[in-house]
Amino acid sequence: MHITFNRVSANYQLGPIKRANILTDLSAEVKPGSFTAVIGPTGAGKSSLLKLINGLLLPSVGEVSVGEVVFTSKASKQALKQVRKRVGMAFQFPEHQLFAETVYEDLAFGPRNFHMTDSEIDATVKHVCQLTGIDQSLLERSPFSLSGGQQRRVAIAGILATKPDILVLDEPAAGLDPAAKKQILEMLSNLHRTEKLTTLMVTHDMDDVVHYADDVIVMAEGQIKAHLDVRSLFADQDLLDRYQLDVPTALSLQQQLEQAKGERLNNRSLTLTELADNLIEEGWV
Amino acid sequence: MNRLIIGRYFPGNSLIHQLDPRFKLIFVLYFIGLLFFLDGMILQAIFFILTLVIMVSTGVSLKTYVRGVRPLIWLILFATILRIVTTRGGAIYYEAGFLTLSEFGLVSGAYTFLRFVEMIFISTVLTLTTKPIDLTDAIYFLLKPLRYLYVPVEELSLMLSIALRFIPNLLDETEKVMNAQKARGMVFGEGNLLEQMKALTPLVLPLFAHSLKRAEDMADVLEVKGYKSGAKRTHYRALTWQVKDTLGVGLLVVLTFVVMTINVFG
Ligand SMILES: Nc1ncnc2c1ncn2[C@@H]1O[C@H](COP(=O)(O)OP(=O)(O)OP(=O)(O)O)[C@@H](O)[C@H]1O
Ligand SMILES: [Mg+2]
Repeated sequence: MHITFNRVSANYQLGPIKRANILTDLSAEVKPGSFTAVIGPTGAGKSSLLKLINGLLLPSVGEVSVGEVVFTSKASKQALKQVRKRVGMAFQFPEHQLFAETVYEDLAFGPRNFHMTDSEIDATVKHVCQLTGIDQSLLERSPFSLSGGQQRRVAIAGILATKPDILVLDEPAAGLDPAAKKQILEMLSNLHRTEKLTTLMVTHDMDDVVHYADDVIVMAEGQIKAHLDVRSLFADQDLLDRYQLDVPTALSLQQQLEQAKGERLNNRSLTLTELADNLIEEGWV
Repeated sequence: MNRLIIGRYFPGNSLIHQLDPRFKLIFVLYFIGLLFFLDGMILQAIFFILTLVIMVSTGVSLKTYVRGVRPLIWLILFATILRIVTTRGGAIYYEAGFLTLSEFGLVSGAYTFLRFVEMIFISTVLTLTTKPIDLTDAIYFLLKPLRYLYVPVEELSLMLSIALRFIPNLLDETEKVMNAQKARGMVFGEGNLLEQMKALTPLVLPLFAHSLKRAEDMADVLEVKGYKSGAKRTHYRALTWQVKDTLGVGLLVVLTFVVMTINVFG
């Protein structure tokens, strides 16, 4: 499903008090079925950009369109409901949204709000448990009695349960141990592929960008500074320097090797396998 | 949330900002007490003007104060109307059972209204010009004598300052959880009263759970850092009583005197 930003500005205006824009003059088009990483320094407006997609933050100028739904500063309740049905959104630390007595009830919360029938809900809950690897025995437990990693899974499953076409993730793996992080990201990446979900993910980890994303949106100071595919991003050293972006482990290793040897490889490697191939190909090892 | 002005601090450097929080707290409590002893137009006028002068000298715009009254306006009007219809005397304009619309009723209704508004204004002055943490210290100071009655004053004031410290966090969190539930299709403020109350569960429960968790962490940290209840402690922030504050107390004495004189002879 298409997401387009058309000259959007937005701020967190409270009542009549005028605030400076948090996002200014954004224009972008996210391809349906793509996996887009959103990167940029802290305070750049990444989370705010995601909030625009499901109308938690409304544009003050310009328009956002998600599929056929278009909304501007005056979005109707109907439009918002429609968009929220389409878009599943996981905030930073989504486990903070858990509230129900049992995991089952928490997973059923979204589907209930969107008026699914009981049998549909039951099927959906089973389905998302399978997708996210939640054991059936956990369904009757209280979500508060689970470990942090399990809670994160349940929270994400609760978002998937609304059957979104678009998945918007704000640092979904922040604060997890490496194994749990990998599991969650692999799961999301699988979902993206099998269910053809258009996915946007904020991340600070460039290795995640390389492994999971097709495209990258670079944000800084409330603006989209670049929107390009992953390979072009890491080929553009100027851009990386300008916004002080990290590079993937493999590329960083390559750069260190190049510096030590005083020579350069022809291709920039994004993964360790690529790096190994390049090193062998050019006879460095 | 952003409409509630009472309880907010506006940084500034006016005379009122510089006064000792202990004095300000005493002044406000005493001033509110005096408001209940005002007989007649002259006193009402003096206190109204005094309130205005104090408000203006904080350097905060009057609009801000008026905004502070707004959320309570129905309560005030209710009290005022109750006062009007239950007081009789002077010329009577209308009568229905024990309810009347009389000259005295209207006058005392107006006074009631004024008293409420002045109470809110003056308390707002206190919170607008005093950092919450200073206010806590002032409350601690006033409660200190209760220690002799074995009231755990230290602990109460610690609790109060921790509570104040976490209000902004709680507001932020409320917004976050609200957004998260909205994203799952929750609609706030829809349906009848019962439905709306039910709709609060997904909001309040996570907040509760998280606050409890944080309280537990906080308790652990206090423990680890060696905090012991009942121990004698000194203060990092010292409050300093200045000449201005003594002069302020003088003002209170004068006011009391004026109120007594006018009430007795006026
Ligand atoms: N609810 C809010 N009310 C007011 N201002 C906000 C709110 N949320 C964010 N901001 C402001 O908007 C700007 C962008 O914030 P945002 O959360 O979008 O940044 P971010 O790129 O997600 O940062 P991070 O990497 O730290 O998550 C910041 O300056 C922040 O202070
Ligand atoms: Mg963020």
